[in-house]
Amino acid sequence: MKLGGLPNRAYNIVFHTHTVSGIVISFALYVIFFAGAFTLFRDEFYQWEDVKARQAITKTIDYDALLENIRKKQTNFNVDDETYIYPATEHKPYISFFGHITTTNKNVEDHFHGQYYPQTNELTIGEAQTTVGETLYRLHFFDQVPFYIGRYIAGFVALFFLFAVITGVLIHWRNIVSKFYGFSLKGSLKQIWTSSHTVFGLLGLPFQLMYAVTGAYYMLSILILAPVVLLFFGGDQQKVLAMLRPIEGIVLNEESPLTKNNLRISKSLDEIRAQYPDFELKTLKLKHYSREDALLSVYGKDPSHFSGDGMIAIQLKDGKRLVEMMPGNKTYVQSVLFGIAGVHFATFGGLFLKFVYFFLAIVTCFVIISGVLLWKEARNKKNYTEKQKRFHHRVTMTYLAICFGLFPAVAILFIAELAVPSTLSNHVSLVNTTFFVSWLLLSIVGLFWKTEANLTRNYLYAGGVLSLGVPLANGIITGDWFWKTLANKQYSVAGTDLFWLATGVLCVALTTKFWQKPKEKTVTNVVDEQTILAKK
Amino acid sequence: MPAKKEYLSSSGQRAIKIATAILGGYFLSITFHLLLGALLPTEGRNIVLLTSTFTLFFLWGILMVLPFLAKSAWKILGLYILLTVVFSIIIYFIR
Repeated sequence: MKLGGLPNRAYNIVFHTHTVSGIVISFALYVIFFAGAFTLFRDEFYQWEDVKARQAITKTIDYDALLENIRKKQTNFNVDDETYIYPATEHKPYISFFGHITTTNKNVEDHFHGQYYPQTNELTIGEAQTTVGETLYRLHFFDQVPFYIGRYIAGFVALFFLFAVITGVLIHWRNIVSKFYGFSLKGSLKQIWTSSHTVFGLLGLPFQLMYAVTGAYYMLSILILAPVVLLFFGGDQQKVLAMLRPIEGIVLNEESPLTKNNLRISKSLDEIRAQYPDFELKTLKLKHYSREDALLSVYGKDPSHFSGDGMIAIQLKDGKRLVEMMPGNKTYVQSVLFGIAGVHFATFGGLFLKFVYFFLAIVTCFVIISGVLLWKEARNKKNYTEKQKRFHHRVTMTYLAICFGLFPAVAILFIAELAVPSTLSNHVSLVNTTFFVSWLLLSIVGLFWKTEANLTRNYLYAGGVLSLGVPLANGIITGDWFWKTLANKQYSVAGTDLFWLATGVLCVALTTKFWQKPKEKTVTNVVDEQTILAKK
Repeated sequence: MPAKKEYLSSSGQRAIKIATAILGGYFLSITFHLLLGALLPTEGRNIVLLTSTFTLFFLWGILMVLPFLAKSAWKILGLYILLTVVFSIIIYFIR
């Protein structure tokens, strides 16, 4: 079945813009999707990266007592400024918090982080000491590039990705129905890459379109916010926030008297838990804690709803709820950004949905790679000079080296997290350095591997061997071998080990058993449709 | 494949088209959304603003394709500027 396609001139123009925009963003986009795919499971592998967190979640916490203890340890803790507390979850069974420090200079803001382990009654001040999830999360929008430059690069990569998606649909519109089942491994390399690129591109289309738009929104939201605030809100950003989250609109009195008669936090939380049993508390925010107008804001999510996010603001003087924006009574305006977060971070369908997302993200990586290879193969013919061909080859090799070098580097990142002693004060920066330096070295080595097939095979092999190292590192360093953690029902630790084990076995088996030295592929005489179209 | 060169424009024309696509596309898309928002009462305006968190980029993406299809880069640049200015003037007067 054929649909009406673009006229010939438009087809060629759109085709060219698709090629150029695609080649320009390809390796950055690959890194975004690859790092992003792992970031989906950030919470799930948290206990793997943080040995201290491998504990069961304990009974309810007395947050007032905790705040008192924090004040004893951090004597200049300003309890009246905004204080954030993140309750323990199944994956992160400790409480983390973020508070402000009293400063003499009113214009300077100073803050501190800390953690509290209820299991051992241990209270530490300082940033979290592990980094795998954080590193991959930040890599997926190039946040390691300083001065927010990386974020803007990521934003424009997302925007050009949207452009590539739209032009891709226009190009393949004519054959879009047959592309659903048109995958084939027959024919020349160019035909294989064409078929991979178009068929998997089409299958992943809704997913990719969603990420292009939501990704552009997250990185470039300033482009909407700035004109909107200037035009409709008199330049006051606070008013926009108050519209989206009514809690931000509550104004507290700076002169409010000190008091010790406020309600206890735990009592208010118990009331919320009783009223909304499925609502999981994610964040507690306190303001003016020691004053009469103390405000407790509770943010959370009911995972059984798509739009399950909610927030309640409680006045601790009398327990009165000033804001109650819960699942089911939010307006469209209040729900949109939660919806974007839901589809972007895959938080609306449990673990199974995350696996689907992971699979589609890897498929997208494959679409990107096959696009680059297709670009090269399509130029591998007589009307290009040797010099041009060498250039195409070099570009392809460089792109593949950067992209495929990331896989073994991520395995190294996991190993380094446990291998670098957690007692070192610069643990996080050492692990990050190990990761980025090994990625760089791996990419450089790849340039010497002559052909694309060799390069792919070697990276797959290196990645496979290093993947096997991940469960080994965990077993040797922490003693938590996966059969032990399975028996102890620590499924997230065991799951991470088993994921890497399976990946390692698969990659090593593929490269050693089934993929012998790549042979020159025989080229058949089947002319593919694009060539016919281009000749028309 | 690759695209036939005879249909592609000269490099000068192409530079204008790229600028029109990226910058012109943004300004046209944002002024269109602001215009819609300005035409509606507060409640509707907020709905438009929040919807624009994704439709701004959809429209921008489509407006990025059109300049390349145009025969003359100057004409499409002129059209984008004209529409942006017209939208801005209407927003200025109805606010």
